[in-house]
Amino acid sequence: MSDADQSFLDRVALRNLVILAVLLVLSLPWRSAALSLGILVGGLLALGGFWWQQRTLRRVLEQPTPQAARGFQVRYFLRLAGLGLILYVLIGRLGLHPVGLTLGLSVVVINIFCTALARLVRRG
Amino acid sequence: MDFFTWCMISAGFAMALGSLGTGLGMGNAIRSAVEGVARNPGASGKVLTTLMIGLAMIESLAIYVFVVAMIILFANPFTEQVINLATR
Repeated sequence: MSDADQSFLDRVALRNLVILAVLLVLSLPWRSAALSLGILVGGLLALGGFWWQQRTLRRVLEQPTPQAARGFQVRYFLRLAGLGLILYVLIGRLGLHPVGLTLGLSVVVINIFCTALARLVRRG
Repeated sequence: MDFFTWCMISAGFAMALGSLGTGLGMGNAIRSAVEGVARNPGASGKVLTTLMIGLAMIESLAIYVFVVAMIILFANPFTEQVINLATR
């Protein structure tokens, strides 16, 4: 991976954190701990998922062996199952604010949308 | 059928349709990326970056579907109203 690609991914990761912080600050006027906690937990889950995906995809594409691909598949399903379990506990058992959680989980989507929009505007 | 049966059915259909669409999308994206890297190994960095961004977007759709299904099942905003109507 070239330095430009790596720096782009680093910038995306940094912007994820900034967007999460902005969403958290914007949630403060509601004075709802459940909403802010939902955004925080959802955001951390989204960031963790993005970081994990980046690490494993890089490993697979750098060493494209059948074992690496199989390991990626197994870990991918395990991660999705783990994420599903965590979301079930958060919504079903702990009763976390669903809107806050959805907003937090949207951190990466918002970031990519804004990045694409900024590039479009820059190119005219 | 009662309200809760419909909730179960709608959550099940949401998961089925959501996972079908996102699964097809992810499979297509990964196949195209692997073919691209096989044809031009020098472009693996660019392909990886684009693939990662694309997969994150597609995966978010699946997560949204799951969250909506969980909301329908465990945090449905209409549950109290339905129970009130039923006990009236």
